[in-house]
Amino acid sequence: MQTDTEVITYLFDHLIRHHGLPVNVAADVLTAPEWDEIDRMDKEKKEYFTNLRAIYNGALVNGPFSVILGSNKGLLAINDRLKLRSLTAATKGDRAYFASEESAIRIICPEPEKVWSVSGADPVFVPLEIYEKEDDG
Amino acid sequence: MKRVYAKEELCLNCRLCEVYCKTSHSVSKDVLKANKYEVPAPISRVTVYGDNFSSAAVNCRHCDKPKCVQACITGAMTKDKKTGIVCVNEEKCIGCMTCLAVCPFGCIKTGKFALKCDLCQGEDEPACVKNCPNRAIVYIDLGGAK
Amino acid sequence: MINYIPRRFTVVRDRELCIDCGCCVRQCSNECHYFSDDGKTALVKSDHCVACHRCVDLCPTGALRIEKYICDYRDNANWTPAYQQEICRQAATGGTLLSAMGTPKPYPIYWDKILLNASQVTNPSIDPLREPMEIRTILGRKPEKLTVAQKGKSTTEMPPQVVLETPIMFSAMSFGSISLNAQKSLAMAAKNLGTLFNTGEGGLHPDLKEYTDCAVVQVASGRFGVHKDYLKNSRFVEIKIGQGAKPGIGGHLPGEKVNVEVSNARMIPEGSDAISPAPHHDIYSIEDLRQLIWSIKQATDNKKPVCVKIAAVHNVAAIASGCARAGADIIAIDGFRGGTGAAPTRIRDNVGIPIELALATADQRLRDEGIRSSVSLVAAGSFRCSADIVKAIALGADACYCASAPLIAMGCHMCQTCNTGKCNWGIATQRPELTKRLNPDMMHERVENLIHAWNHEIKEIMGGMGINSIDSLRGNRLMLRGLGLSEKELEILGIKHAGE
Repeated sequence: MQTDTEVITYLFDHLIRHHGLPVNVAADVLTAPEWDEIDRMDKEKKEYFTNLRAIYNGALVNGPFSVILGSNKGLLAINDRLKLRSLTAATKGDRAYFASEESAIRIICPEPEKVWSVSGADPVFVPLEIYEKEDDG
Repeated sequence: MKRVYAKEELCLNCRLCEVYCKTSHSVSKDVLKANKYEVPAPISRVTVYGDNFSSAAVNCRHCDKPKCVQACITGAMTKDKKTGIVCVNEEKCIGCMTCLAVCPFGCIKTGKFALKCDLCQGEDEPACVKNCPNRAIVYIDLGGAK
Repeated sequence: MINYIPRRFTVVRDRELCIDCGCCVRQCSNECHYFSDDGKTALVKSDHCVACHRCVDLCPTGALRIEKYICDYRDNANWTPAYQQEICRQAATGGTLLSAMGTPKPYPIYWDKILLNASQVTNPSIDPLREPMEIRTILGRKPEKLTVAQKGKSTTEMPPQVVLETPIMFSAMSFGSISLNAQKSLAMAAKNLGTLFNTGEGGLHPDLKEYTDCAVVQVASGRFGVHKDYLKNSRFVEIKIGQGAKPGIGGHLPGEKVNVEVSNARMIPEGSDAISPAPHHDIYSIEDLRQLIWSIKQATDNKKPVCVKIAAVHNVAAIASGCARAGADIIAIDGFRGGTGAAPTRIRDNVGIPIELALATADQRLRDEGIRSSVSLVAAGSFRCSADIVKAIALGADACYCASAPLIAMGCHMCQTCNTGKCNWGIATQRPELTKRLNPDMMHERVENLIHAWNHEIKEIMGGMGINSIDSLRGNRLMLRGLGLSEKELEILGIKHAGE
């Protein structure tokens, strides 16, 4: 593998296809929250993230990145753990928008209902309508 | 009040407390001069008794009702009302050593006048405590229990 | 009776500084200082000086120093003075030479030939004072993959795990080889640091009951003190197959150090040498090891991981693979530079391989066989600073065992005479007048300071590399480059040469 893009694509493919993880869980593997935060979570979430970080410790991604992954399941936006790159998300009705900056989104959609900066360890996954029944967003 | 307490189980019998007590009560305040060259030689107010198997540093207990103060015939030995430190007024002391005879701990030493622990004049940490290599002497307030 | 060998050291007293306080006289257990008849002058007799520096460090005026006693032999690159003197000692005693602490021989140290990367431009460094740096480490067998009901809800059955707040643990030092005060200092430090200490094969002293959650208990070939409660009172159990300083033979506690307490803890007569058998007499093959691992897991209700500690020897990669397949959750590999309380000199200096190479091959073999996630690897065998630890983790270690370093923090000066039981610092002795010199309330602070400092340095180095979690350093050989290593060494370590 020669580029960062190839590495991240490989990781997603491996986790989703070989390990059978849902897309948003695979996203958690790459940008897992910090232990400080995990220690403060409720029991179920704490167990989930602890197991996830223990098993997939080698798949944690370092360095600044802003990645949008599209598949037949939906659109995923993830940011590196330290939020070194900008990534903004917005929704209006049943549409979702991702861009580096809010201004870019407002050119296409002048009045979105919700606009937010994607958080470092909080990936945003927007499932395609047809698959909504199978996936829990 | 804070007093100096010795812990027998930690005492190394190194007697560095004596060395630094002499230094603290010398004119030069230098460990080499005080222990080797100064005349008259400074005297340590704390004494370590015992051997390598069992030892402890003994110094003035600054008793609540000091026998030495009671016994002093010139009123040179007093217990400071604020700090509780029992010490000798060198100008009044005539060196009769009655205090030495009545002290139940035997911690008064002879010299031109009576010599005894003065808790290093109320410094943060007396020299013996500061320089003990094993924290075998501590400076704490036990509420006058022992 | 003449001594065929000159003494090793001379104690030099500067008469201008000496105040004859006698501190040195009272402190030296090797009787190198004594008073003149009138009790006024301190004199020196250097015959048995071991250069432990107790007198030097305690002297209030700094009047003492230790010098190597240079008594020249004719130059001979082959028959060095050391070899000649060892022959004389054996001619006198007829016994095997015993030594303590890790081998001092000048074998190559690979840590000193490996360099670390730092981020420049292409990947930014991270400021460890501004961003959280994570060094939390989880040891134990990991399942192949996570199973979830949905995001946020894990349905994976995790085997027992051990969470450490630092990748540094304290390696095995038995009660007997070191004093109770020394072990207590390590236990207190381990508890405060969120890591573990190892009881070694001497059992867990009842005074350390409150530290069982931080204790790794060892099941060694002598099986000293091994019963159900011993196993239950621990964080995980370690089966000691071998030790880096003396691969192939068992533990050795000289009779001088077996006092009544040690005798009770190990259930052996006072004053007798405690020599553990070379093999475990119920482990004669890998299947027997599997059996023992499973018995221990049963005895601990499958709640604790089981670790197997092996010495780094020639086929360590295959042995590690075998241990992983036999059911070990953690494998500790002890390199040939590891310390010891007492070991035959020839075995200590000639048997085993460096941990750097052993770790790299074992990690690579487990990865090649696809079973790396089934065990955690712990490396041991002389870590002198935080940089050594970073390099070990990059070579594939999950955690590192340190023992000599915390001892040095507590006062050890590497005089290498632990086997005599006369340690002036109160560490490697059972004599009460010596063990009282080690105050656990003071010493645990020093050990904690050391590990805190190392933790901070590890975080700084990681930040420089642009990573903020130790998970991303583990096994990341691309962060290392060799310097002045041969093709073969680079190949075995699995790293490139600097400049590539």
